[in-house]
Amino acid sequence: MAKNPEYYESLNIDYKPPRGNWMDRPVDIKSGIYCYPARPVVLENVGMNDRSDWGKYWVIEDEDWELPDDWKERFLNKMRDMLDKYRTFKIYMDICVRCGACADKCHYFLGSGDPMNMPVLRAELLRSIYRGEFTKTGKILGRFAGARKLTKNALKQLWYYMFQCSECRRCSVFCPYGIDTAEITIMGREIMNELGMNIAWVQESVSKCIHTGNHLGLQPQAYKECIDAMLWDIEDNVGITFEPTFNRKGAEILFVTPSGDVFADPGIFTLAGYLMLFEHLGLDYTWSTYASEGGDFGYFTANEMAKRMNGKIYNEAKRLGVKWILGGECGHMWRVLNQYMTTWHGPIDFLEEPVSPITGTKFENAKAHKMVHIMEFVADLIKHNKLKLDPSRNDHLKVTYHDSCNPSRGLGLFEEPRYVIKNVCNHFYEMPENTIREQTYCCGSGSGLNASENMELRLRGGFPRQNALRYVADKYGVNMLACICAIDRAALPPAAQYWNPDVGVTGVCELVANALIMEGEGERTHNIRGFEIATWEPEP
Amino acid sequence: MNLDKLLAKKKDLIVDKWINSIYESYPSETVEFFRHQRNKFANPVGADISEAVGPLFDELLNGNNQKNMFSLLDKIVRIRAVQDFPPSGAVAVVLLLKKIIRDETKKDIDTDGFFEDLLELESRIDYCILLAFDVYMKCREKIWEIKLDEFKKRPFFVEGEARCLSYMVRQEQGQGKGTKDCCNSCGLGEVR
Ligand code: SF4
Ligand code: SF4
Repeated sequence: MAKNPEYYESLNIDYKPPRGNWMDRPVDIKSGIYCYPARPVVLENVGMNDRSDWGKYWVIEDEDWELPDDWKERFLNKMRDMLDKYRTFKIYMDICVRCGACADKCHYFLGSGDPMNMPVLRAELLRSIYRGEFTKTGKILGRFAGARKLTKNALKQLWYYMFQCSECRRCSVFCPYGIDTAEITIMGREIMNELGMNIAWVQESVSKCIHTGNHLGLQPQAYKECIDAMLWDIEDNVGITFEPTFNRKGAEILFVTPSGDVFADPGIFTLAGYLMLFEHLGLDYTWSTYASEGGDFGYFTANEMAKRMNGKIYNEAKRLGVKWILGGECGHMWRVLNQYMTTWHGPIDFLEEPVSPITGTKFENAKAHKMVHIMEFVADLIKHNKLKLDPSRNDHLKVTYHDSCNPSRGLGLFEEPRYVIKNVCNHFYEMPENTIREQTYCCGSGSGLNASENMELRLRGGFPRQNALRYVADKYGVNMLACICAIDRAALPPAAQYWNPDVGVTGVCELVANALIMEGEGERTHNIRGFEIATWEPEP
Repeated sequence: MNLDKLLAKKKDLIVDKWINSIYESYPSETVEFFRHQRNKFANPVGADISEAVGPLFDELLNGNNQKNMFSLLDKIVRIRAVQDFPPSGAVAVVLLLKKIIRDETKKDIDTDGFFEDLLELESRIDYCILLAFDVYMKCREKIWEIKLDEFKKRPFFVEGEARCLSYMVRQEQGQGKGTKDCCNSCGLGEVR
């Protein structure tokens, strides 16, 4: 065969992407990465800007986003209001020195390789507009001062990347100035609400919460039926029959949990844990079909909406006349109530400082907002030997624990869940240090981003977590990932299906349910999911 | 020197170049990060690429075991299947090796039998590209399966009978507008 120099040279392939300043890059919107926009009707029926005054629908992949003529004015007026109202926002806009410490800490950057997902650049999208439209130096020096004007391209970029931030706050842990990029995303999203630019998944949830009490739109009777169905399962698998109460006035404790626990698999098995535990303790508590959502989807739209939605929990506590509130395994509910609830609705003088009726422990940390986390409650019970447990029933599981972002970074809840898991399971393994506790990686689907249409975004954003999981799965044979957040329970299984198909997902209370020895129970051959314990192999 | 010997000698260099050229298919800021962050939990994509490329090169040269190749390609292509690459860009990682090998062997092209060996190796690389395509399709199909699963799990699939509570209340109070005007904000009522 003759050698052919031309053939030899002909392979001129080049996959290098173009270089250049990010401000000049046209935004390249990809399907699989963005969420569908909210329908005008779901904005209208909660009193948010529904675009009806300019009457235009909005298709993300269209060139023209059908904005009103005065879109710029609306945007900047809202931004000005917020800069005046929230000191943190103004400070975060002013003080970033672009040191880059946060740049490589975001799971969306790590998973996508798209530098616009570096927290510092995500924030610069808004900060550059702040400089260019609100500061003298920015107006004079323009790009030299990192400033730019608000243009349609800038707005598109902002929208695209603000909905690629799960508000997990991992980046803020590393910022020497304490700048919280999640907070900047929150502000950015609220500003864009002025133009009716929120996403369907968030907005439908908000609407359902307001109209039916929870984001799944379960009406009171359906909500109760779901719980009844779980009670039948408990009867089958545990051999115990009981009936909890709903909307009962005069109960000592109101229990609030995300509605995902009541409806969605595997959250419903966490629900079984709550039900069995409270029955076992003889707790004087009630469910509510009005405060039937722990999650605050308003938090992903605007401050006022967050407040309105969160208020339902206190309103219900007041109406029922309970003493304090116990909260289930939810994620952002805990950040909201720990950091905002008292500011919005305080002082909460119609409730009492929570005291465990079983152990007498005072939960002083909950003095202000009067709400106790189920993990604190259970850890306290175990510590005082109030639960009979048989951890060997979980022996077929090798468990690791995913610190859900908000309970860990927003509430500082690190030890209690671990303490509980170690008491109900014999095999527990930690994922690598830089992926847990305050450095935990997001599931990839927080802050309203767990729609299905943006699955590629969720899978790549979930990769850093799944990579750490894969490590313990390979090394120790871990087959179960425990977490304490309903979004996690919805988001981690699909991510595991893609990255770790041999690992299942569970709430911590499900592990408790399986280990709990109840008075009068039958022979426990099956776990709470109805599988034979001896042969069960978990899958996502 | 024959091709095999030459490639064995230059292995480290070629693997290094291959890793770098895969990195360089990402934006420049990201390339810097991939190169410098050595902790595999802080840089999962960079780590997976650099861990898979060496063994894949060995496999191409010596083993040619399809199963091994598939699982090594899976490490790289599974990630690219959810990133911003077009399908061609996702599988191009293998193609990049061809160019590197040609550049590195240019000087020895006149050696007897060398060119034939090269063609043979390139055929193996071509086959590997096809395998990468299989991996890519497997991943993409999985993604759609996951999406479909999620849609099927949505409450309205199960609760077909359910009606909007606000709507029922409005009707009771004599403000009913008829089902056609159901706002369907809950997603459970009439589809608009
Ligand atoms: S808050 Fe989380 S998702 Fe948002 S930029 Fe920071 S690390 Fe990324
Ligand atoms: S770490 Fe803080 S100061 Fe440094 S770039 Fe990030 S936000 Fe700015």
